[in-house]
Amino acid sequence: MCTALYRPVWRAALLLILHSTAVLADDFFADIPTEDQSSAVTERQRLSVTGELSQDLSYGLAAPLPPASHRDQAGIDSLSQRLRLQLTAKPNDWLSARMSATTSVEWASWDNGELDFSDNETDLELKDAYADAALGNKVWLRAGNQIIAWGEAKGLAITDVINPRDSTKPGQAELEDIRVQVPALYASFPSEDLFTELAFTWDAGGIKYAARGEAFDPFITVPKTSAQFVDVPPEKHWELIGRVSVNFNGGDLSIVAGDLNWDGISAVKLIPDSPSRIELGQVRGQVLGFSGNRAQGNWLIRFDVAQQWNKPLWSADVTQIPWDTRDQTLYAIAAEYSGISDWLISFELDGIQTHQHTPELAVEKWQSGYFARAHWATLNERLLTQFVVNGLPGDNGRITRLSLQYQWSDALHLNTDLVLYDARETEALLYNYRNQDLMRLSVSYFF
Amino acid sequence: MSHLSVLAGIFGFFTLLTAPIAAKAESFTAYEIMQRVDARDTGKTAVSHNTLILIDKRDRQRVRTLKFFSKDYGEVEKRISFFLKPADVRDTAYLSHEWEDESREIDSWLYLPALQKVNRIAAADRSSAFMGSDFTYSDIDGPKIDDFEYTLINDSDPVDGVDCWVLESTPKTEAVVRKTGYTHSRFWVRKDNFMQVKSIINVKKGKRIKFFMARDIELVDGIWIARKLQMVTTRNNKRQHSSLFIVDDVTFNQEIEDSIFEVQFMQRGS
Repeated sequence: MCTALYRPVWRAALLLILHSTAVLADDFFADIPTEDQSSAVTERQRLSVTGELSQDLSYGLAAPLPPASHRDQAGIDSLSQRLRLQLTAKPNDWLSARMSATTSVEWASWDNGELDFSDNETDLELKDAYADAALGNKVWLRAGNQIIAWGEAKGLAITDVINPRDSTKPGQAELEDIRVQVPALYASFPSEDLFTELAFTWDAGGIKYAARGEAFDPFITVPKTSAQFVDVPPEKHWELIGRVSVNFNGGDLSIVAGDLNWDGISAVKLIPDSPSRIELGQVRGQVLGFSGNRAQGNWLIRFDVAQQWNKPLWSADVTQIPWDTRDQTLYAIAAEYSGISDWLISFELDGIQTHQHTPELAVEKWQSGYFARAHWATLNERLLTQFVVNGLPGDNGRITRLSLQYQWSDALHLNTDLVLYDARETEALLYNYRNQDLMRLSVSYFF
Repeated sequence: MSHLSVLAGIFGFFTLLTAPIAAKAESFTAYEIMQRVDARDTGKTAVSHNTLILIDKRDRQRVRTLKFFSKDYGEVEKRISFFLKPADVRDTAYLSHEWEDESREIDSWLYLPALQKVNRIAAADRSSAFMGSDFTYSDIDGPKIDDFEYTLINDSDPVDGVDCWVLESTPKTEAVVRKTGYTHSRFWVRKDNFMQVKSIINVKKGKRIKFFMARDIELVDGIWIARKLQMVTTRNNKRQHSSLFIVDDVTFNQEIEDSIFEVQFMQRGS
């Protein structure tokens, strides 16, 4: 009876709850208040300036082994500020131009085991500087300092041979700084289902290495007192590289061929003196390669393979100059999986085969490496996490990087990176830098 | 079932039928209503400028502006979008070729200005967020109507003063749930133009519920569009995140060069 008495009350309460829920739910349909809904850019501006101001602090987690660095203890590795400016002009639909440059100030430097804040080092670097012209929507030309990024491999430059890499701080570079811009004339011509691209470069230069005596100097084991390195220009200043590609349902395929100066450094001449002078230059070579990909469901398979002729190779005896050259076959095969929501996971296997291999070469006949990456975007892409492990070919060491980026707002990003170096073989390129592990914090302001 | 086929309009395939068809649309079954929602006059081409506002639960806003182009070639719908703002993603471009034949893979490429490189991407997972928003790629594309069962649960329920049908949809298979990320949904379809103007969508992952609303509905070049599309993601009856998509301007059926939808164009920018 009591239950019967309270039943109407219970029903009323239930209805009230349901009604409240409905009202609450209706709130989610309400007009979303926004700070600015009328700020839309309805057309690209004819002239625009964008940029990024960033402040970086790098902290060395261990004491580097001498003579690998001026720093001899764990502590602040660098404190720097960087300004990147980009100017874009688009007077009409068929003509545009871009110029970008970075300037940086290093506020702290190590000298004889002391961190010095008084000697500030400033650097100015031109990045993009090119003009674009579209001729009748068929031919597209780009002339000037530019990046032309081809190929599918991440861990090796196989068919991506136009722009040299920035190797001053391996594993630490931001995406936009991985490749170095080169002066080039680029043309793209569509014909039926094929695209033909040609790139003609002039004084493209080679890999950008760390300065003598700095961390990651490739010649750190050669004392400054015993040898002086001098850069000499290549015999031919030009390079010509072409690509023909086709995009089909589920995949892309490209063929690349070129006559070029190899980006890797080579000791081309020894001049006996006190100290000895070693001339460093680029060796002429050729490349013929294929790259492509195939998408199937949540999987993407990528490959890159090329024959590279006349590559300069380190000698086991470092005093043997000029270095020997050999032909190499380079390959990479990778699988990328995007079937887990907000995740992108990839693994790439890299390999190099050196032909006409002889024991005096410092490299093995067969070298293998890998590039593994996991990318996670969460909090509606406000927090981006990336984990990369790069095993350099030929037991030359391993670089591990964990990066987190938190987008506080469109303009303000907070970043942190942990970069670890690992090398066990004494001949490994990273062996002298195995204690160069660091943590980096940075704040970037975009405008 | 194209819950948000209205949203699909931002890519040029606006979903709405015109008034003459609506005039005789009084005694349809749920499936017939959905057929008419899906059988849309999208225009052969579309060009639009858009603003996407992402708002977190602390009301912090991020604003993206984009320019979209789309062209219907019959067997394939080609779309390309360029980010104009903010500065850190400016010039990012996304190109897709979606084939009428469902057995063919959707071709998708992404151009990242930081790398200055075009990369093909696998595009099978349609349940992931579109540009960090509350809309998914499945929302954008509008899933196939035959993937769902429909029930007409209310023959008359007005939204913003316009009479609507209220329908419920349930995925026919677990594969559809995996593909779209959604379980069952309830949505309101306007009787005068077959436009979906309101939805409550149950998300499998995290047991979230999403609330969709279309506003500022108008006729442009003979095609109905919603100028504002909003999606609110909730969990335990609390707002987690919300997104507002504003169509700033749009034109239909203007001539667009085919070269815009080629991979090489992504590097040239809009």
